[in-house]
This record gives sequence, C-alpha cells and structure tokens, in this order.
Amino acid sequence: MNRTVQILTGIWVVGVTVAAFLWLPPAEGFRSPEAARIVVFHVPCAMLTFVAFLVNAVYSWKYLRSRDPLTDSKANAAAELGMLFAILATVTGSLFAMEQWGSAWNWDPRETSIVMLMLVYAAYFVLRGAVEEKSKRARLSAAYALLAFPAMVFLIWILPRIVESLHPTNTLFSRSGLDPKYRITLWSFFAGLLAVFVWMFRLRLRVEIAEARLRRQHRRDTMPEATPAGETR
Amino acid sequence: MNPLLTYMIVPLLIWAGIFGYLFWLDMRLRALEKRLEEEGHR
Amino acid sequence: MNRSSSWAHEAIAVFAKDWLLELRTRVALGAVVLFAVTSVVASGFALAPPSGVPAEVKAALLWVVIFFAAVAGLSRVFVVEEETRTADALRLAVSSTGVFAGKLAFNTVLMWTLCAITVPLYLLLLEAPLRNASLLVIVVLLGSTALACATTAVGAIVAKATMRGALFGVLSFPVALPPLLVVIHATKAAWLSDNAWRVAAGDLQVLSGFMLVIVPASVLVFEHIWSE
Repeated sequence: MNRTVQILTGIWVVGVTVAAFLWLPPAEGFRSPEAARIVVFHVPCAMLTFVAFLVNAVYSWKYLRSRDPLTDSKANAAAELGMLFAILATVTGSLFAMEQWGSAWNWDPRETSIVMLMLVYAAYFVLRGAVEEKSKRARLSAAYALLAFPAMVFLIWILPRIVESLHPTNTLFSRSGLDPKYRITLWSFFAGLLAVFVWMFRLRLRVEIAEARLRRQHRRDTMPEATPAGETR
Repeated sequence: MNPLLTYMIVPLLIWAGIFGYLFWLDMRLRALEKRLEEEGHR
Repeated sequence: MNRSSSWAHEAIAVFAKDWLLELRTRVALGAVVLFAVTSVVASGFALAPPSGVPAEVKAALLWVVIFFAAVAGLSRVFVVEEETRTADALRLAVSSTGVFAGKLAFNTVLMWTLCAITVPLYLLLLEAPLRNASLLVIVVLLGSTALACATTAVGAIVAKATMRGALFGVLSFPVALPPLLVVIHATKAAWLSDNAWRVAAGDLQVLSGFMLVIVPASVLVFEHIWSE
C-alpha cells in the first residue's frame, strides 16, 4: 500500500467518524437514541472479526496445500488482527449493551459467539507457542484453524436456536431493517476499517519477514556452511 | 453515564486500539530493520 | 481388495491393537473414569441436598463433568504412540485415514464406557429427574459420540506439541462447545419436558449434522497432522 492510498484511507475513516457525529440522526425507539449510533462503529468491528477468521482459515488451507512459510505468516497475521477486532467489538458492544439493555453482559448468542472466537484465537496462539519447530508449528496450527472453523460456523448457526437473542437479525442487508443513513454510514465505516485491516496486515507481514531475515543472518554468522532449509523469505 | 459521552468513547476506543497496534508494529519493524542493518555491516 | 475396504480393515486393526494395549495398562480408562467419579461425588457433596438444585444446572453440570473427564483421557491414544515411539511404524504400515478411523472408534468406545458409568451414578447421587429414559440413552449416546468426533483430531495435534495435558483442554473446548451446548439442551428436555421427543428432535438432528461436518474435516486435516 503506497502513501497516497494510506492518506486517502485516513481521510476516509476520519470523514466517516465525523459524519457519524454530525450527519447521523439519533435513532428513535432505543432507550437512549443518542448512543444508538454506536452500532455504526460496533458492527463493522464484529464483521471484521469474522473476515479475519475467514482469512485465517483460507491461508491455513493454502498452507497445508503449499507448505509455503509466508502463507503461514499470513494466517498468523490474520489471527492476530482477528483477536484485536474481537476485543474492540466486545468492548464497544458492552458499552452499547450497558447503555441500551442495562447490563454489560447478557449471554446473548452474538456475545457468546464472539467470546468463542476469542477463545479459538487464544488457543491458536497457545498452540503456536507450544511448538518449537517452525514447519511443525505451521502445520499444526493450520490444522487446528481448519478444525475450529466448521465448529465456529456451527456454533454461530445453532446458538440462536437455543438462546433468545437481543440482536436483530437480517437488518444489515434488507431495505426495511435499518434507516438508510445508518446503513450508509455503517458500510462506509466497514470499508474504511477493511482498508485499515489490509494496511495492518501488510505491516504485520513485513515484521515477520524482517524477523525471518534476521534469524537467517544469525544462522549464517554462526554456521557459514549450512544452507537454511525450509525457511525461505 | 451520559449517553452522548458513552457514544464518544466508542470511536475513541476503536482508534486507540488500531493505532496502538499500528504503532507497536511500526516500532518492532524499525527495531528489526536497525538490527538487520547493523549486522549487515559487520 | 478395493481402497475403501482396506482403510476399514486398517481401522479395525488399529482399534483392536489400541484396546488390547488399553486393557493391559488401563491408563486412559482409569484416568477418565476416576476423574468422572471424583467430580460426580464432589458435586454431590457440594450440592447436598440435591433436590433444591434446578434441572438446568444439573444437566449442565453432568456434561461439564463428562467433558472434563474426557479431556483427561481422549488424547491418550495419540500421546502413547509418540511416547513409545511407535508412531513411525504405524505411519509406514497404515494409511492416515485408517489410523484416524481406528483412533476415533477407540475414543468413541472410551466415551461410551465413561458415560455408562458416569450417567447412572450421577442420576443416583444427584437425584436427577428421569422423565424419558429412552430419550436420555439416545441423547447420551449421540452426545458422547459427537464429543469423541470433535476432539480426536485435536488429540492428534496435541500429541505433537509440548505441555500436552494443559493444551488439550484449551484446544478442544472451542471445538467441542457446539455439541456440548446442544446436548445439554437435549438432556434438559429428557429430564423435564412432557413432549421431550419433539423438543429434542431438533437437537439430535443438529448433533448428527455436526458429526457429519466435523468428521470429514478432521479426516482431511488429519493427513497433515499425522505425516511428518
């Protein structure tokens, strides 16, 4: 991502944030209409958590096919970003719930599923920490990500059947569900966050690549004859 | 809590989280690049 | 012999080998059953007299006990191969699908044994209501099978990592949560509801669906976990 795109992204997200304050009307029908505007920030965060989870699963699958270490780094970067957005979605959601529903935590299906996603990410990082060898770590964590993915899809699908939800369903895409101004702001913020996501993702990869290069240099310094195997780039 | 205040905290939190992460990454990258350069000269 | 019957034969061979070893040493069985009995007795003590405890709590507690008891033993089938360094020999002799199917069958039978001991004891000690016994049997059978399906591949992952014991619980909980939630719901129905079959029918479908998804996913992934 070059400078221009970065600057444009910055202007875009700042613009959307300002518009959410000045242009967006308070939503009637909520306990506190002013704070209802939290949804335009909260929902995109939650959506990006799922995007990150999907990206992680795709790169995990690709890793198992190709065994390319860079693909493993991408899967890991996606998981790290997913964790960040899961935390942001949970915190903003709790603030919203406190304001509108009276308590910060209700064991609502969506709340439960985002906590489960955080648990999966946490387990993924613990697993990565528990395996020393690089290719083995990549293999095992990719396998785990691909096991957790269908389980999470299932969980998100079955939870509403078991517990009542406070969250509305199908408001994001249907015409009647959401005030058009809200829908526009929400999706604009999502687009902005998505661009920021790509930006962070690339930066995270550069860190990983620099670390790998440093390790390789170290190895070359200590053992001049050995050629590094299994660790390209 | 004042609803408007709660509402203002939300974007602030999101930006704090994102920029915190970005700065942390940037710092790590700079440190790594510096070390790479130093060891490259040796 | 065609391919499909060959992996089935291999699975049976792996299953028989593992059970022979297990019956000789009784490590997994002992760990699992002792854990379950201890926790049932402990809950009985803590909740006495159990008549005042709502059935929802009892249903959840039963499956929490079963899940954590399972965590104590379900990774054993893979850990033992790594510890005795027999994994390589097995890798050469048997296809990865055969190994997975055999280990899955082993874990399923282990879960059934665990439930056959834990559930009656639990019903007795915690005075759990029993409105619909036949439904409860089916729910327990399907639920324990689903838990085995969810965690067998995780056990294979854990066997290759360090600090296995702690890791297995952490890794298997998110994967095992969907069947756990459903089975708790169905158990509650078997205990309380008058039209229990109708309430639990959806749950049983979801449980079967979960197994139909997680088992092929596990088989696909297992090949990569198992091969060096």
